[in-house]
Amino acid sequence: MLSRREFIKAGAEKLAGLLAFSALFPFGKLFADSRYPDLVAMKGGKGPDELFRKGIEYLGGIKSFVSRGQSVLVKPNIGWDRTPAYGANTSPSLVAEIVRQCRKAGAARVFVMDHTCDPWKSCYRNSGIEDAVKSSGGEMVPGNSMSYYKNVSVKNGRSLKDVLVHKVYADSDVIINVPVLKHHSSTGMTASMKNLMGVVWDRYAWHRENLHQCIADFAGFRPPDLTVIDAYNVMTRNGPRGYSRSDSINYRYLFISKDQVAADSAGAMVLSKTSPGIKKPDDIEYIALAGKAGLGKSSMKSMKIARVSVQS
Amino acid sequence: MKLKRFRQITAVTVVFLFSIIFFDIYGLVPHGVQRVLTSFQFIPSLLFTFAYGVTLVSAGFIVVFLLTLLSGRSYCSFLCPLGIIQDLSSRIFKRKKYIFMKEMRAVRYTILAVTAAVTAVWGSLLLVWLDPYSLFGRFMGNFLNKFILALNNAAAEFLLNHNIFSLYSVNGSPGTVFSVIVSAVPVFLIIIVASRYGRLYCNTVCPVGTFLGIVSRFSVVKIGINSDTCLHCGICDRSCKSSCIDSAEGLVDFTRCVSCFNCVSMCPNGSISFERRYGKAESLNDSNRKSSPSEKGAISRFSFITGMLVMPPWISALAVENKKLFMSDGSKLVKFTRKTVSSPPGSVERDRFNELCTSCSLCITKCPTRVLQPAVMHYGMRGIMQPYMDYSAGYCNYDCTLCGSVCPTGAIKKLSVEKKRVTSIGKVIFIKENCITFQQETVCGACSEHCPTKAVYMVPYKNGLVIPATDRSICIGCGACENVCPVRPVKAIHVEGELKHTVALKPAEKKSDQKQGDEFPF
Repeated sequence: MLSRREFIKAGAEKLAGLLAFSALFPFGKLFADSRYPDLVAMKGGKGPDELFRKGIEYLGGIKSFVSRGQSVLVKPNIGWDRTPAYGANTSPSLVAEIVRQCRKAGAARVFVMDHTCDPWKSCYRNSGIEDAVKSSGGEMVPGNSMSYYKNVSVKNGRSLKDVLVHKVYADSDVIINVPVLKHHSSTGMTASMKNLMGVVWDRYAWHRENLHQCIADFAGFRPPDLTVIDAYNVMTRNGPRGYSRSDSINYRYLFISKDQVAADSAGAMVLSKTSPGIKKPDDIEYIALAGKAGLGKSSMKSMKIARVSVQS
Repeated sequence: MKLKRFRQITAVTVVFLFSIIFFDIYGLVPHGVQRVLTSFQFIPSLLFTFAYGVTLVSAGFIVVFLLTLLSGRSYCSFLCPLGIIQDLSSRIFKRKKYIFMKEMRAVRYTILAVTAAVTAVWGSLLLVWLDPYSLFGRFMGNFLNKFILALNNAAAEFLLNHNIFSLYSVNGSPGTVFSVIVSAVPVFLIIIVASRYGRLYCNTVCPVGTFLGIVSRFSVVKIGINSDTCLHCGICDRSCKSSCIDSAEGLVDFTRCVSCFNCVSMCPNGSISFERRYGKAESLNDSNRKSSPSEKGAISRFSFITGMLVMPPWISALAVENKKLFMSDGSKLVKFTRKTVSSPPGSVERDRFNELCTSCSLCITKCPTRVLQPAVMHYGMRGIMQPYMDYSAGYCNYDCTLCGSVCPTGAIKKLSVEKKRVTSIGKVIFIKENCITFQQETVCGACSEHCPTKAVYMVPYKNGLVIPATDRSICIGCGACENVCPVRPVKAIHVEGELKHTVALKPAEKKSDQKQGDEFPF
């Protein structure tokens, strides 16, 4: 009979062999496109965390994104010193759920950060995200000093040639973008690609140098491995900060995708119900630019969508 | 010995607590601690009482007054942070013994009288420069605090390189040359004087010292020399920081005695005691002795050591400053000159504020966005070093009421969050010609994004673009729009301050147009 130790050892060896084999022949990747949908659209449920728990299974579970020992950056929107009820920041419960799953999948370190608009300490605290992350095994990383950023060049960037990017964005093994969907006074909408402005040092430089093009350029710098849009409580006007709680609608959606452009396109369709200027995803200029640059799908018709309704 | 030890322990504790609140760059100390600590500062507590009438804070100056009636100028030795650091300075740097000196009576009473008169008419104009707590506060907040900041940031950066994020950089400007000089030099001078002459400053210049000196003539418990047993050895003269004991005559000048008890513990045969005295104050005859302490080495070594300690972190603090990008062509931009700077929310009215604030810099040190900066001539002569809203440094966070919570003099009123949100300290001015959308025909809208009340909102412009428009009735002058506007060198949106703060209208709230969605919109 095998002793327990031998059993584990044998198991580990087989696993290693399997891993090496699959690394040589990445069947998973071949299958991925056909087996998995481009977009998982979830709705209902008790909260965005529940929707994520169920929805991620349609993309093979968190384990198809995070492996043992890896470092992960979970990038929510924590831009504003507002409490969760306003929908100005990503729901803390969703961020916590993702951090927890990453840790469960064996991630060595899970970082969470945003280069906030309002004073960062108040944002981290009052958004509820700091507490949620700390209690689920993640680490809050500051983004308030230029010394945390390093200069990188943006390949194929048209307006954005080089940029100071936070080192956890540049260096982490896996990036999970967890934006919140909101109306946005300047760009019409903010969700995935726009949320990445929170990993660069000088966001106002983008405002000076053709904002839409900069957003699309940076989306191609290092596309996140997974995008989860929190569209549970959607700020449909006065975004991105919002004035009152009546600015948001409780749609209870959540979009999960490996394609950030597809995820943003779904978000644009949600806002199309309240923003007269948006009829199709390409009406958001940066979505159109990113689509043209080949970064993802911006036509809802061309996507394979898994639509899932969860009982609440 | 016991009394002296008690004084030393209390004094060190007080300076330690003050250091904590002024060095608290992470904002960890609860506001209540600051309030309690500053309440026992004589001038701030007095001004707070002028501002609000008798409140709990008034207890501070009343306690100090009663304490003086009881036991002389204990405030100066136990509670006044500027006095305590002078004692530290003389303890560390003193090389020669003290010597009895005659009182500079004309100087000190003139300063007291002028300060009292000026304060009665113009408020804090002179107290800004003479209140010991405020001098100390500025020194800590605008000067020493920056070293803590620089050291912290250097440590944070070091840890960052090892992927440790437990310390973090704290943003903050190293201050202007003006603010640093004005904050550091007076206190350095006082410390240097103290290193040779003990409490000379407190007994010549400080109006609080002079005032409490008058009160202490009537103190119940005083220092006294027992003429029956006194040997006239002169040890007490030489140990007296206030140079107020004339052992040859067996007299003590109570108006200058700060109740430090050094003499009590030094007296070889217990002839000096601190106990209940009857009769009136005994004033001193002029002494013929002249003071002639001179040791040039002491001062130059002192300045050398301070220079060594001071310069390197200072330089690195300056290096932390952010890189700034400028638009290349400034000539096309419309110039803007601000007529009035904004004073912090809760300061109610410019005149009232200028009269109550003693520029202690506590609010400047605590402000989480660093929008509060020390004024140079922004308020004119009377408001030098008082906090003003510097929108190039930051903006006033919508839900923050911290400056009012810590202000020791009541110059900045404590506002409820609800009130703060409608307190208008200034009004927005948009200069369309400078706007990026006008100049380059690309989208920007950073100002409107940050506007907490949507007093700055976006309206359609050409080619499907949007451009800012303003509604001044709901603007509260927080300066977020001005702070984030990326146009340089002249921004496209500014806040013009209000001399008298007003109540802004609340933005109209629309009802939510839709309930939750049923089906996916795709």
